[in-house]
Amino acid sequence: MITVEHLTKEFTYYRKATGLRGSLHNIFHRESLTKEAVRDISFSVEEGEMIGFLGPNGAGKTTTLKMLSGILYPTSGSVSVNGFTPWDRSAEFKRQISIVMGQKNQLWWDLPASDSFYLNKCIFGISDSDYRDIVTELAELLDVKELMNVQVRRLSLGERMKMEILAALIHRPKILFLDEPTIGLDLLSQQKIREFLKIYNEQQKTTVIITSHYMADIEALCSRTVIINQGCLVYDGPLKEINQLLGRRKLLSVKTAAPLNAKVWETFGTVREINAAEVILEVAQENVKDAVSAILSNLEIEDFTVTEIPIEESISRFYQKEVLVP
Amino acid sequence: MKKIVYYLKIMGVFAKYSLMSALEYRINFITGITVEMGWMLIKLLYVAIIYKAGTNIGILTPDHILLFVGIYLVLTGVYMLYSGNFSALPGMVQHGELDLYIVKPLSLQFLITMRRLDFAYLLPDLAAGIIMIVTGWRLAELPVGFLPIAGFLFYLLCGALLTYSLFLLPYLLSFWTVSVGGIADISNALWDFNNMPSLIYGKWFRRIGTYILPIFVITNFPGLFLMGELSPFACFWGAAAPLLFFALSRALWKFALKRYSSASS
Amino acid sequence: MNAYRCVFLMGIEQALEYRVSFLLSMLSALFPIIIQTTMWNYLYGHSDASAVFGYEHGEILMYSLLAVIVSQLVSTGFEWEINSDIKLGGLNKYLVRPVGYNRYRFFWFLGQKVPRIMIILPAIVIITTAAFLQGMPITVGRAAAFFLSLVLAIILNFTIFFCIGLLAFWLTDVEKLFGTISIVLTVISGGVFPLDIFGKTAEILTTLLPFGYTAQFPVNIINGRFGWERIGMGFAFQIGWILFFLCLGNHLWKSGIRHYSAVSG
Repeated sequence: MITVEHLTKEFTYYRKATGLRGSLHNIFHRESLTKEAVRDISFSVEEGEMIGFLGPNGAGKTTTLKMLSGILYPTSGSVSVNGFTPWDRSAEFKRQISIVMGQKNQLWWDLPASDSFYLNKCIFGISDSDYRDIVTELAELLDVKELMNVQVRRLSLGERMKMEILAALIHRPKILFLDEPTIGLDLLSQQKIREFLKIYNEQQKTTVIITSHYMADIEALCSRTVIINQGCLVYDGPLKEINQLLGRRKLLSVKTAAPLNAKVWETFGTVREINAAEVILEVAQENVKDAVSAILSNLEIEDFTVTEIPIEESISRFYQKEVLVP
Repeated sequence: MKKIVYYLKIMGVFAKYSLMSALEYRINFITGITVEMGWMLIKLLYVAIIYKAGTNIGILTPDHILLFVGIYLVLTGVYMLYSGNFSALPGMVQHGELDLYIVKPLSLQFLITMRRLDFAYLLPDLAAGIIMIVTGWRLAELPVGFLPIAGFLFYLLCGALLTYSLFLLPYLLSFWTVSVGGIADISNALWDFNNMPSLIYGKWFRRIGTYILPIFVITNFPGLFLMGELSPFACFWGAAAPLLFFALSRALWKFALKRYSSASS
Repeated sequence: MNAYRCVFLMGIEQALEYRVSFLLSMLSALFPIIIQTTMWNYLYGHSDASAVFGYEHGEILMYSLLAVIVSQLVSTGFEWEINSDIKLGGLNKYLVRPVGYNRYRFFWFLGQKVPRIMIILPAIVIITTAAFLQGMPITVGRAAAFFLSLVLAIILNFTIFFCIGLLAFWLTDVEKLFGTISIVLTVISGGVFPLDIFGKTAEILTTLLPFGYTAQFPVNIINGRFGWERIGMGFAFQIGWILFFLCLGNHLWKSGIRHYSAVSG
């Protein structure tokens, strides 16, 4: 459905000198700098797949998404989306895709969302009956039937985002791009939007690419994750495998009857945190058994758990480039 | 033809939604009307001065001048109807707000420049302008009939298209430079040359303003046609210039958009 | 005082930041001058205009030229900034800092004026010198009075627009209203045409109301239309109105702040 090969995007910007002297200097001379936002990214997406882009701010996720949807031209590389080159921007291509951006809105602020839907109906040339069907269906799924005639500016952020998504789906796109769709929303709204996307993807077999800050979005929705850091693709695969890549380390939390010296703990593994009688140790997976039995036989234990390293943390290690591309 | 119907339909939706939005803020709508009346006051001062002096400008009597300034007002109103989109363009470019419009399957230029229509500005200009045109037409005893009226309206329409094309050009610079407040000032100031019939300006100035930067074509040709003062070549130019400059604005728009898509992040 | 010096310098810097914009807006101020000059030349060439308007040909040209320049010199724009300070809560940072908001605004305004003044002052000097060489009776005393009146005009216009800006405390949709006010004030300050050409009543109103003292008064000093007696009286009016608007501004500020704290909690 989507094939991306060696996609690269550079852009230039100007350095602004500070102070009055700098402003005067700027009148005659501006220094231009080049930034590589996306560097040589390649991947492909199957029809009906739902994949997540993860990465810190400014990593190049949004830039990649914009190139896939035809908003930006790449500096080099090629992209094929359902047979189209996005930045040719053919009307036929535009009818097959849709993009929602969490920080931008396409709805008319002072009018009810239904008016904006109607505008999209006219723009995409959708028949009256198809339009009625899809709006009813989506409003039901998104649970916004009662809000259809409320002005957009009176809606909460979460409700507004649901409406943005609805507006983007009026023409039943084959591919949906979502850029931070849950940004700034309360947990309940995030949850609702996730549920909707899951059901919609299953029912319609729409191909979905989603970028997010929230691990929970990706964890809940995407079987596959692409991690981008500093413009480079650093990981492409299932999210849960990241932990394994990190060397299969586990966390042991132990609570003892009496406080113990950190020196004692260091014999079992790396001390992450120590707080009176509670301690968190990081231990390589193959040593977990030995460490557990050693602790149990040598110390007085009150409580004891073994957990995976949280995904957020694994990813942040990717960001810091502690782990290189496998 | 099907395409024209499509675009007209969407234009209709824009007009309806703009009006509905505007009426949400009634006070703003009314102050908008007063702003436009303030500008009109300045324009009418010029007419008042000419009436006070009581002199002709070339072949134009004060009554003709009334008609010409009326045309100027009507076309100002039409320009003001959509010019808010022009002035919003720099901000949209700067904040990357074209993104969500680029992915729509219709002309982006149409979508961006016709999205919001400001009726508060149109109404006073249109009302005063029509009164002045009708009054001037009658006082100057200009011909009334199918051909004069149809020709007059044709050149009025050409003028409207030329205004759109010509005044979009400076705003397109916003794809290259961040602040275009000065550009807005300068194009508005250029527009004001039409406050006086072009016959008041010197010969060379008039030629430049008719054939190179054809701002005089916009408001003078409908009136000159009515007076039978347009040469056959001028008749042709009056229809060709709008098409030429519209094509130019399309070309520059596409070029500018290429930059937007290449340079922004 | 150091803080205000800093604000002043930042004002200059911001004005320079938008360099293209700035140069273009200076350039655009030329167009109305061209339009008016052309109109006056035509009217004076084709009718007995000096009898109708009470201005000699040279006087009226000088007036048009200087009025546009002086209007540019005194023009404001910070009223919009005051509005956004009030509406978006930016005011809070001035309330906690030991800077007077009115003084902050004043120095910012002056700072932003500097690049403009640097272009306008030489222009004024050139124009007056040229007029002097053409035989206009400009004495050193008159030139000094003119410059003093310009300084006072800048201050007066600041105080007027400071008061207007403060209206944002009580009114919700002021942006377009500011537009109207600024256009209408430009007209009734004589920034477009000398108001006395429209008759005796207009002349008396200009003398009594504050607005003429931001444009028409300085121009008429250098123009040689006003005798020393009128000039003296004018200064008295100018200073009187400055004091009036200063008091009004302080009063509006105090009650506005009370209103602001009450509303925003």
